[in-house]
Amino acid sequence: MTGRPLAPADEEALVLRLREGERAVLGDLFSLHRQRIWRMIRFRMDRRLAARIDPDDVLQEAFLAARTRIDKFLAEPRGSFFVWLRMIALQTLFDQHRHHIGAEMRNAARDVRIDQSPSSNTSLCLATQLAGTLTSPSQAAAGLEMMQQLEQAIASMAALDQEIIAMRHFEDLTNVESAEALGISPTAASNRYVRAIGRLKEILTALGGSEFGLA
Amino acid sequence: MLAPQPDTNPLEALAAEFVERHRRGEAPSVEEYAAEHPELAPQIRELFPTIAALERVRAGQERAEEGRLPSSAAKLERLGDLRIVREIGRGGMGIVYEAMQESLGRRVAVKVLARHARLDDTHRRRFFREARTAGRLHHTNIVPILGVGEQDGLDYFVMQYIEGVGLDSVIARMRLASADPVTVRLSSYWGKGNRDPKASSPTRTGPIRESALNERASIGEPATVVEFELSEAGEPPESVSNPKSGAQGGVVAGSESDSQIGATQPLRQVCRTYWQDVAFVGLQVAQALEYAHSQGTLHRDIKPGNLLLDTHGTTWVADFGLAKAMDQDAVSRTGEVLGTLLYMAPEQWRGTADARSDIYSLGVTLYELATLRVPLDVHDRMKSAGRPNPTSTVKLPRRICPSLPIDLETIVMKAMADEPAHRYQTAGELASDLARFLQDRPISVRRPSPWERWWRWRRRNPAAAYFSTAAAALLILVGVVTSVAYVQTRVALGQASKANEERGQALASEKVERERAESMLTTSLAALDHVFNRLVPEQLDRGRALAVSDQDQGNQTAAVSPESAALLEELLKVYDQLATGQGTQARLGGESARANRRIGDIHTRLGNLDRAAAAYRQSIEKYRAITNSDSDRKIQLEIARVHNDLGAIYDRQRDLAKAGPEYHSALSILEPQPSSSASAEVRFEAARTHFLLGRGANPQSEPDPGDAPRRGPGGRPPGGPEGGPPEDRWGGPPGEPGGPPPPEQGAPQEGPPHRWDGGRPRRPGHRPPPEDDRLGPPPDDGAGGPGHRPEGPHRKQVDPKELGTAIALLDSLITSDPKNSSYRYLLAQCYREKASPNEASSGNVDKAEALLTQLVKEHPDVADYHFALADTYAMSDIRQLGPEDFPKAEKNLRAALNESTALVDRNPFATDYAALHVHILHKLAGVLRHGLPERAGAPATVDEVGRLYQEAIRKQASLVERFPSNVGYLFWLAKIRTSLGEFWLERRNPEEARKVFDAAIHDVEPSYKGQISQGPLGDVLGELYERLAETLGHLGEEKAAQAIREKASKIGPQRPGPPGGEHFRPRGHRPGPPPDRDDGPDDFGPEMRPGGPPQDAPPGRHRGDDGP
Repeated sequence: MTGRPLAPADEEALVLRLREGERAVLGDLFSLHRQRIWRMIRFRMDRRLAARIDPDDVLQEAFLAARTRIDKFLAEPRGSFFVWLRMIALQTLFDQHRHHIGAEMRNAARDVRIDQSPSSNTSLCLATQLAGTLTSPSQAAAGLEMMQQLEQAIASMAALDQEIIAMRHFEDLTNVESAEALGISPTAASNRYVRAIGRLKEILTALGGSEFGLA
Repeated sequence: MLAPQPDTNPLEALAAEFVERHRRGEAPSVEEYAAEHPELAPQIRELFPTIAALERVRAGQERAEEGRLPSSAAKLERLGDLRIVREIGRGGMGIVYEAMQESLGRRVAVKVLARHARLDDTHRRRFFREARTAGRLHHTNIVPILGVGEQDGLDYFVMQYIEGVGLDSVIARMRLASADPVTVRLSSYWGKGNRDPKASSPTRTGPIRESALNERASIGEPATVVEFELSEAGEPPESVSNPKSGAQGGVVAGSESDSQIGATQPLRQVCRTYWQDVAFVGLQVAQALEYAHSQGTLHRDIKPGNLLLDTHGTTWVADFGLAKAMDQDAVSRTGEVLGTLLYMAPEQWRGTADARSDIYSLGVTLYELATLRVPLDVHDRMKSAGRPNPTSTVKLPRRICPSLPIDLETIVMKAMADEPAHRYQTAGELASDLARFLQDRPISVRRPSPWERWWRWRRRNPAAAYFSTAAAALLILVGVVTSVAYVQTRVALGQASKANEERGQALASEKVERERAESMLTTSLAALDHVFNRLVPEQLDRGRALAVSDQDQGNQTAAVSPESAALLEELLKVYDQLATGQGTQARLGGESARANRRIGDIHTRLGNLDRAAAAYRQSIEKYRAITNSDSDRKIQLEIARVHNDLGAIYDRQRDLAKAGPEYHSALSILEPQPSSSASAEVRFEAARTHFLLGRGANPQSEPDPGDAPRRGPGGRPPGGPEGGPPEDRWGGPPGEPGGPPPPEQGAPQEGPPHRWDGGRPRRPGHRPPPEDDRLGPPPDDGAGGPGHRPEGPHRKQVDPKELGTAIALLDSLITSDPKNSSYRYLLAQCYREKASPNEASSGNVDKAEALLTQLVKEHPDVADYHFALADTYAMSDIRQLGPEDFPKAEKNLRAALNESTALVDRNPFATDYAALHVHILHKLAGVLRHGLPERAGAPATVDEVGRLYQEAIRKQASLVERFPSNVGYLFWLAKIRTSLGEFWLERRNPEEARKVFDAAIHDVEPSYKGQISQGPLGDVLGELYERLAETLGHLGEEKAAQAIREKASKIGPQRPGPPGGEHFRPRGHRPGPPPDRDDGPDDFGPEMRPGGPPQDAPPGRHRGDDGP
């Protein structure tokens, strides 16, 4: 259930052909997921990194990496191709963060949030997205302050809650896919999602829900 | 829509459909869903609006993307008279194209505002107005606006085409090339690029390095640089289409200021170094600003991206005045605003801007150009959003690039002062100073003195500075007095020695001089002490300080901050100077010894243990030099104190062999005095010595890091963890707890994949009789137990006898002076120390807690007491943890957390507090985690555990960042990550666990490689490898797991094998160190403290010392 029609059947068929040695379908598989992977990268990309490289660059790298690792996946698939590809892209993004801004961040005396793991900045990414709706730039300061509060509030949510919202709404993962990516059952994922939305609602309401079009 | 899985949450299925429809462009109403599904209506009404809001955010983002990427939709070919040639760059506000203006046959640049930035009428009018205003600006360094237009809903403006490259990409490329600014010339980037980052990216490093090399070769031939670059770039001269650009040297009419004196051309030839290139860029921009400001136009968005370097080395300022016009929603939406904010002056955050705001932004730009770093990043900005102090923590550029000329640094920092009033007041002034710098003439600005900087800092941070205004004023005064006194002292001493050498007969005069010098010195020292006592919370030697009459009794504790640390460094220099040179006179010798002790104290506080030890040793030497007779008790007492301080340092360094003799030296001074006749001070010091001797392992307990010694007299942290339990656990004969694993320990290993599932409660104190392993299952988290205790033997053990002596002394002191807080504080520490496992039930912890609670009540402002109390809470009771004890442990830890949170809030820079805070977070997470089975895995608790670990990791990571060389912090970070990873494994989330282990390994590997024999790091790294391999196993990646195991085996040998411990290791693959001991409640051995084992701990030793 995402904007882009997801066709698990297509994916399965393609993976099957791939397994049978038809390497060329790898490209089709990539393009099947290109948009969502790109979206994921864009969403999770640190601002500082975004200033230097383009999500397309990361996507490219990720596909290259996936190409070299595809045999492993085929040998022992551990889940869907998409979730595997997403994981590789995340790892690639992480490497890029490390490469480009790792040193800088190690030097700066301040809290680190980005470099720990690819997903550790989810709260910031979410806050950035959400704050975007309410900023009117002439109040940049107010907006940023809000963003900061928002980020703190979101950071106070359980990591899993943050992830699941990010996955469902900004990465276009389905429930089944997010369950797989998070290593939990689809049932648990759906419950989690509903709960996470509830938590988010509380947070947004507390921060002045009307600004977000709530209330 | 996928059919909902049968067992998923029905609400989720509806939400998914709701979302799906949103994304198809429908606008499903919440009520519609509520009506259709009455049974879920309340939840639908509750949650769907939030879901809709999320989807709106997403849609907004998508629109922005579309705006950003028009090329994907329709290729832009023509705008009115303009034929689009190619895209040359894009940013949040729009895309810049190269175009031909056919009617005039000239090349131009067109900036098309992104679709999402489409203007409403009001704003369009404003945009056109601003563009027209900007169009009237004519200056050599301003990109002329040739016109504005609108077509098919696209707003655009036309600029002169500049063949050049944005300063932002120049900076990015230098960063990528890791260019060393000292050897690279900015000019090597000129003309090399085009504004299309894509075009240059594939070949980023090659040509840059090469051009940098070429450039190096050409250093010294500055005049040829431009031609050289030009010919190399092969750019035809006419590519610079600015009619005015040929006359770069021309002075623009209307600006006659000093800055214009050195016209561009001659100045450029002066550029001999990178720094001059930087200054030259700054000069041109400042001149452009000066001109524009004189025309009543502000730029408002000066940043590297708006500055272009052309092939002639001329800098062009683009987008003049347009920032405001485009100050739209859209801008912030794309995140562009975030980039811009980095350069925005503090007052702009509050919505006001004047000429000085542009100066600020230029200052930040030059800072970045000089250091290749932004002074503050977005996070910092967000933290200080809207507050007037964003640059208060800016690192001085020379700290980053020591070769940066001091004058240039001064200019940059002046330009970017927080307060507009502290900046250059006009761009002309800035330009003049840059011109002076380029001409090697003295600049107009004086560097702010450290005092001034400090003063400004504290004005900006009233909340962070805990000084009262009066105290601050006093400080300044004292500072002045000190400086004056110091100068006079030097002069006087100089004259005296000169007199001495040259005219030996002028004895009388010499004596006068010397006396004068002495009195100056005394004054200085008194002043310095005063400052020192105010600046540094009396932590390290609180007990001593309070007990000693000549010490400042004030308990006002100040926040230890980088600023005060900097001040301390300054003080240190003065002390150092005072301490050297004059030794012969008893009086001066005494002062000098005292100064040395102070130096030792300061270094202790700053964490420079070696230097602290050296200073203490010198102090002792100097004292000894001036006391021949034992009669001078006062000095003797001083010496004893310094011996104790020195011993405590050795303890912290875990150098037990050296610490002991120091304590004994102290005792040999203190004890001969019959205790009846001994003064209270002497008896107190003796008590302190006994305490130091008697405390256990402490050394390591010292958090070590260093920076802020927190501990009281004892120095040792109260123990918490390390205190009691360790000894028993580890100290025991092999066989014992440390040794023999309780039966169950072995067994469980096999468990399910996550054997560590149930933690074994650690009861440190007690060897767990088998039957009491209540937590049953795999006890191991405690792992701690057994295997790892490498070396029991050298570990310093708690010596109840010594502690008893100390307690007896203190009891009698307290009887005669019940109010004395130092006595009670030390007593509390003794009790805590004594609360060894064996005596766990004897109420020592309770006694300590009671004493500390009382102290905190009486002296709420003494951070140390809070600290000790938090620490005590954190230790109490953990020793006997059974499931039924968890609630109490949890309660205590939560109390500890409260205390430590408050401490950290108030003393954000005190690393001890931060370390304790992390420790408590970690421990609380451990207790909750081990209690999980009891609570049937309550999800709320699961979340909290994760959160606590994350929080601990975040805080610890920031310690690691601040003290990159402190291996102890790193070690702890890895340990906490290990706990979290294990937790994820317990929760059957190997994916998450893997991330955590990966991150930890990523952190540790580089440091480990650097120090191959690093015991603790090796241990933890080996453990991490094992865990990761195991995790990979769960994930089915056997091959990867195997590879990791191989890595593990490589470092295996280096890790100290626990002597008899091998059999204990629960699952054979557990590497040496006790893996989880950390999270166990009592397992926090000494080294458990986040502060970690001192970096210098000998490999095997570190865990040893704490246990008996």
